[in-house]
Amino acid sequence: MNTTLGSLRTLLSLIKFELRSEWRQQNVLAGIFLYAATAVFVAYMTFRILPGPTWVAVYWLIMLFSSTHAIGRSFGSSSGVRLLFEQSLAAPGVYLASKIMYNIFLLVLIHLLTCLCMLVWGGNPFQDLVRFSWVAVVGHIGLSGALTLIAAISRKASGQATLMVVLSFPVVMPLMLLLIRLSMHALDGLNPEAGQTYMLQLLALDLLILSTAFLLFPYLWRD
Amino acid sequence: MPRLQPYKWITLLMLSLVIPMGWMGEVPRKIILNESIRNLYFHVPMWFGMIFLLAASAWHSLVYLRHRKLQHDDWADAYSVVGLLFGTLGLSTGMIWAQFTWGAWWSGDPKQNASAIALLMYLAYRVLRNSFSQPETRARVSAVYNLFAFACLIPLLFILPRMTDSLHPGNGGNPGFNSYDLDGRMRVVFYPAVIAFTLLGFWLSNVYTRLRRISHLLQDRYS
Repeated sequence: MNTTLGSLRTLLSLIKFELRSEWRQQNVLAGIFLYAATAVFVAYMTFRILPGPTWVAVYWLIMLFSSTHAIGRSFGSSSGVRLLFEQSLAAPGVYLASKIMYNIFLLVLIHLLTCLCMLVWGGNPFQDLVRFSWVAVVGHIGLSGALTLIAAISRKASGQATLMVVLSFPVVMPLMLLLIRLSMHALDGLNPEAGQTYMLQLLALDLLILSTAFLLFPYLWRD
Repeated sequence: MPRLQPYKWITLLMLSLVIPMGWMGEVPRKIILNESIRNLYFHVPMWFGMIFLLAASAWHSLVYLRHRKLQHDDWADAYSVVGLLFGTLGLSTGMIWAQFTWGAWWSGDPKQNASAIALLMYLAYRVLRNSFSQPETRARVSAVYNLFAFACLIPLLFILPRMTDSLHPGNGGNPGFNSYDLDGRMRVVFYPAVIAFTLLGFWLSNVYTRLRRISHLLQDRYS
């Protein structure tokens, strides 16, 4: 009981620490948001009118690229000393949990911004925008889990940016396929029951990704 | 007489029966399929072989993480290389077959897409392996990625293709080989073909590992 409470407290303080240090480097955060917004604008300028399926495809492509970009830094920004400090502070599971939770928060922020820009420039093709948002948020959990683990891996491999993309894109593909399918349902405003199996599969995939990440992360932990 | 392990004799014996029987044995006459039905003996065993080899690779990665013996990393490496070879052969035999039966090299069939993603994952694994100079770090980090990729491969190969209609025999209302097409004459060739090609894959991995070991030894001696 006491240890659970203790690790929960460590988790919260790690997230707070992450938030505070990110807030201090606002230019980096602003860069990520600008990346997403610029990509949306380029998509809008090339397509002009975004029909429903294109809207969904463009949205997920931009999300994929900006989330790899954003999460790719999650272990890179820590200097050697800070990494050592954080590692001595927390157990690997708690440390990974803090990173994944912060990254989910970051992805939701990017999602909101991308969505807003796309709704303004591309219009709203959705019959059921609320469901789309839910699907996206559930997807961000898995996306964040997979990309955080891959970020830790590519950090070990001297953190090249190309490696991050090459390693993560095929791995998140199953997730993407499900997310695009479910977004299409929200687009057509299908009865939620029609997509129930897909939703369950998405949740199962999230669970699979998160549990594998938590099982494997301790092996990346220390040299 | 060369001294070979028993399974290698079995492989040789079975392949020497499977290959002539595969080309010349009696097959049912089907419209569209015609003689291309023989692809069953060569294309399908590649996928079975690939899955077994990649599972063996993941297994050795797991054992490496538990026991930290570099020979397991060599095995994981070898199995993934041969698995990749089998996957490439499976994809190309499938594409040639598809050109003559479905009318296109690539038709966006879910199984085609899934196997292309699987190949990308393991190509990424090759890239990751090559970006380390230290054998221990390489073994540890790439074992983590290998296991993560294998965990993502399972939903990709076994769940997602079943969600959508596929052009493959046995899917989406297409007659399956295992219902009435696969009659007794084909079965006696098909099952041995699966076993023989899988064993051949394990044999190839064995040779590959031994080659790697020799090159390690030579490197140690002359550097």
